[in-house]
Amino acid sequence: MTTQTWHHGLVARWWAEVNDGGDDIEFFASAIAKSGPPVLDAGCGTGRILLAQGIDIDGRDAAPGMLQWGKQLLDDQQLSTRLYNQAMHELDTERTYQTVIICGVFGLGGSRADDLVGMRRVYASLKRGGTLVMDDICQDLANAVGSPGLSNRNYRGLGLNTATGARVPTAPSWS
Amino acid sequence: MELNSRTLEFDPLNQTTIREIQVRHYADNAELIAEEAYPIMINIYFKAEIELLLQTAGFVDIAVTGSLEDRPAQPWQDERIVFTARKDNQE
Repeated sequence: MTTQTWHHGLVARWWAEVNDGGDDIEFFASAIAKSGPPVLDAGCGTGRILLAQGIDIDGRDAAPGMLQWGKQLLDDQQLSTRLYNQAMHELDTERTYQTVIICGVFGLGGSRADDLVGMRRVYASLKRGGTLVMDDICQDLANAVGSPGLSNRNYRGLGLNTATGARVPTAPSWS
Repeated sequence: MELNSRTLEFDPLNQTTIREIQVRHYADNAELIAEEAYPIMINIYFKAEIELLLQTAGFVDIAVTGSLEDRPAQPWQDERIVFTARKDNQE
């Protein structure tokens, strides 16, 4: 299955120019410091996390538009990080890594079979004793089932009437 | 530039959702000069499914923490959870 991406054109540009921080950068930096280099950022996008590390780290991503911005940002900082256009289930690395990080991309754009193949390929890309650190955004699951602990905007995204619990037949609003 | 997203569909049987992302680009005078939107399908997993997926792929010492903090993940509270897993030394 070809991996679907939504990171084209203006969306990729937004990621490069606007979304350049985040508390997850410090978290993943700490995880990398604990496990050690070399590091692979599988699903690196525009290199938001790569840019902050300054260590032996490679980036791979399914979206060429994001990598194009990533290369420019890395060049601007004179970093020689290697970037590869590969989806996770296509991962084919010429070296092995002590740490693999996956931030915000698991489950995006492929089939469930692709996700399993991706995890097997990540496993193969690790050195013995190497560490995977991967996040999963629970927001989509919470949106789908209607979380009582999250804000109303999450209900609106699914087209639910928050007062009655009924489905709203109109297009969901942006949030 | 402004980014928005929304959920278009949810399939509870196949555990997939279709999200759409939109970026609007405004000029300095706040005039909208460009707008693009793209959909994407996302596979939705429960925590135990991801743990099983990691086990199936060969990982050991799988741990789950909540919200970028060193503590157990909490239902309805954590919008993001983190899986840490290791490749066996003997592999």
